[in-house]
Amino acid sequence: MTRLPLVARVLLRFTDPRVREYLTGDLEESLTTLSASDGASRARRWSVRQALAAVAQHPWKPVAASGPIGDGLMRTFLQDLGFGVRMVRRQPSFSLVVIVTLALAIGANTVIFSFANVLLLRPLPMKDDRTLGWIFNVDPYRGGDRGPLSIPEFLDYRASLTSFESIAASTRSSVTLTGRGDARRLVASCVSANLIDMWALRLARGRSFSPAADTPGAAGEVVLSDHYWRRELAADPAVVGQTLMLDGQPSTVVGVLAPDIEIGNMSEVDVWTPLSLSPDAARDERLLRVNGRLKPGVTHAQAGVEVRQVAARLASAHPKTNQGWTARVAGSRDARTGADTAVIMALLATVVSFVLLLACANLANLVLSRAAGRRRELSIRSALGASRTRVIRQMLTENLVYGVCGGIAGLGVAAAGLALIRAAAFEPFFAMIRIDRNVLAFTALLALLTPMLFAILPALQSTRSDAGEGLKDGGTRTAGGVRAARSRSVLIVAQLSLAVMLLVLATLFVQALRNISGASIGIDTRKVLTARLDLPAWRYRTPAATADYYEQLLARLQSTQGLDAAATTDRMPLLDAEPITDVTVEGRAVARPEDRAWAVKSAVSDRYFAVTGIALVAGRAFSMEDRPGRPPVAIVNQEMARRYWGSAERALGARFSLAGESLQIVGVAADTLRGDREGVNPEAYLSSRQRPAKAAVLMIRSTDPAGSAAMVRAQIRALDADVPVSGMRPLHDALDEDLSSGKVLGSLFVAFAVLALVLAASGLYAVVSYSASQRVKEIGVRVALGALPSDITRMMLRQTGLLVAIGLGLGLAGGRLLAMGATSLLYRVSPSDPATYTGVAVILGAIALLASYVPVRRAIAVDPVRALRLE
Amino acid sequence: MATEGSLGEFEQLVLLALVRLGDRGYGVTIHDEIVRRAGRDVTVASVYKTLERLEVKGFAVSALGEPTAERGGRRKKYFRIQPAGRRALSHALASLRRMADGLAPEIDPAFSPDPLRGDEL
Repeated sequence: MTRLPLVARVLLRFTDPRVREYLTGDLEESLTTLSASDGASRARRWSVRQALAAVAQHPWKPVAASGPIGDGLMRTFLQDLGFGVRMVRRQPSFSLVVIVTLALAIGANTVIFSFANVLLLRPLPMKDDRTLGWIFNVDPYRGGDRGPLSIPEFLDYRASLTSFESIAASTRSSVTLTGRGDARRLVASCVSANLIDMWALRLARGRSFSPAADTPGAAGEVVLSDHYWRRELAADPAVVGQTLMLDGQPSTVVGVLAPDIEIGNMSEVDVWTPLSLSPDAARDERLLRVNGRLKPGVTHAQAGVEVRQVAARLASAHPKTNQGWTARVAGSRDARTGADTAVIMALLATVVSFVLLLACANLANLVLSRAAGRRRELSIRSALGASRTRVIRQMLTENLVYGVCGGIAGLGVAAAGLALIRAAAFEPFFAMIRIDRNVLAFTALLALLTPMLFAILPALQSTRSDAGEGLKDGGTRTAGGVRAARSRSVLIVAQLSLAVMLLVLATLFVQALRNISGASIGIDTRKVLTARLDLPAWRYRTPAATADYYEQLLARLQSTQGLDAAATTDRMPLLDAEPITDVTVEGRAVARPEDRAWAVKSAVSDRYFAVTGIALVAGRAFSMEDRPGRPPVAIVNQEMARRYWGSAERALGARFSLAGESLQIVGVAADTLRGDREGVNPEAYLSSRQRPAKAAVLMIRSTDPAGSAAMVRAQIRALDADVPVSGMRPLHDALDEDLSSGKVLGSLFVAFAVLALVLAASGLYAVVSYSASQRVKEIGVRVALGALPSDITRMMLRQTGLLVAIGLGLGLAGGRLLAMGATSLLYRVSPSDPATYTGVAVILGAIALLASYVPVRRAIAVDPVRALRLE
Repeated sequence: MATEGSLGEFEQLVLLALVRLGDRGYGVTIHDEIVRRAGRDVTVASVYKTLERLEVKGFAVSALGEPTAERGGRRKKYFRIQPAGRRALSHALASLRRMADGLAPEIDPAFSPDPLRGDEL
């Protein structure tokens, strides 16, 4: 005998028990003969088809089969479910409202959960990320606690730390690839030789770096990323062992990484190259991200204690560069998510759960009103002996159908929302967000739980009254009753206050966004085109050759028709890292380490200030005079002048030294905002002619920056086609892109707030129009007795007005609390900004009054004679 | 639509199978008979559906058989045609024949000059 396939057996379980035995026996018998003649797999397919037909033709009908067989949980559940499905189909418009509301609320929650999923739940590509510890420098100047380390610091930590098995370092950089067509700039992750092995990254081909690859002077090695290998090398299987010219140096391809690592900003990395860990590197050039594998049993806190001890030792051994600096250890999750990320996620989670609560409140209201209409049905049920729990269970199961439909539609909403977010945001984080198993499970949970949330109150409410009451025909007159009215009032207050809170938060956010994108950063961004250049080291061997190249390029661009001015800098303002350098101000005493003078330095060409529109408030710009060999000069910004010399006038002509070189201040420039746009750093501009660097940011002033890109490109190619150009775009676009994540988040808050507002307004409208329709007869009597429409309007509005006032009050207070939590995100907006609170109160009050006035108006318009006849 | 005693096409097939099978008619044999002779891909479930209907009409009667090992220890349900069923069947076939009588050969396969078709019948 051959057993039926599992699917068929399960299907047959759902057939009518009266034929089940014979039918199953027949199928099993036929299966045996059929497998012998037609083969097992065909026979199995046949039997599944037969079983399907059996379920279709002889379905198990629990109702038909009912008899004194007890109250099986599963059977009543199926019965209720069937009833629920019929109810959904019988009232399509009601169902549509419920499902759309649920879909929006569940969709919003799914989107935010999928963010959290990436940040908190999805595994990181490195092995055992729990036992990795990230070592950060704590910056005494700006209080940043995620500071990178310098190469000598990394080497010191590696030599002295005992709580780590191994520690590794990495930094993002770029290399120039030549010898394969046009010169190209590749995004490189420069790492210590042990990083790939410590993270246990999988290699698709070859091996990771040899252990000595990161010592200075080692032979060049490179590990390719999966995407680079596929896209640029056509997945060449024989790539290992080949040589690529990187920065003019031959580098042997030793391996290709598996694609697992390509998540988030790691997906931008084209190639992995070894660092050159020279102990002689500058101790204050801090660029390395450092992390290590903790020894078994060592906690992050224990490692942190040791790291602080080493930091203290370094501070006393190297006071010039390390005084005041300390360090800390963070776990992988903590290291990946910034402090603001936690705040943003908490806020988003709060906001979307509010949206869900609002939706539930709305639906509860709807179900409550509908339950009033079903009082007769429910009363009959209990009169016939249905227990209260049985009726409640039935109502919950019915609404489960809505939950499931809303959940499925919500997934669609979330998928569409995520697609929109991915299109609008440039941050690679958003590209990682997907609807995966975790997200599906979350949505399913919501789909099952929300019906409980919005159906339990109405179910309890409508089953409370005694059976006799509802059976009477006049039952509708007292429909709802005092208790229902009270729970409706609670719902209105809750809805309004939630909506007010969200609206307050969203308004503050919009203001912050407007402030940050409209903040005058001190640079005329609309007229500036930028591009990054990197001179190949094997062609420009001396500083003089480098300086000469840039001199020629700028002269060419300067004389090009349509370009106003051209300059270079070694650091893109606002977007590039801001290297903080210690400076010694001559004649200024330093009492405490935190009083030491510091500045962000950049090396700029003569016309930098003309191109960027940064005004010179005193002195002069750099000129041909400031050549190598002439006295070194500097221009400082007003902030630096004010901090260390008291005023621009006193700074002019003064001297300070930077990295051992004494500079004279020849000009004072206006302030520009720093990268986080929160304030102004003391800045020191040096002449790029006196310290030429191969890599530079080209800045060109033109009335049409985007349109002149081709012209600029042509000039660069004409001068030297081997110089790679990247990232050519208007400065304004680059800054916009930088803010895109903030804009996406801001729009999310606004979208949720608007959703909340619509939900609250429609909820209020529904409640007021329901209670007005219940009182049509009463209103008719009043009108017949001579009450004026205005009297009645006032009477009805007074009642909702009180609720609206309470809701507004609670909401404004709650909004203030939320805003306090969001303070760090509110750029130049006070969390208690009075205009915001007043505005929100006025808008919401107006909407609330409108939502209650319209239905009241309609009730009054009913002819009193008709109203009185209404029974 | 269906007057009392009238038979649907599938009912006719099932009744004919019952006539052929005598006292050996149950789910498997009836199904196989229809598949083999009529060349129709029918499901066992639809056979049961029709048998149920025929039983209600009094055209067939069922009896439980013994459980056998090849059926996983499940019993068979045997069906036999009843006199009323025979009457209805011959009535239906007679009306069919009368309607087809004298019609062109391409309608009635019994008159078909096609040797292959003829042989099979």
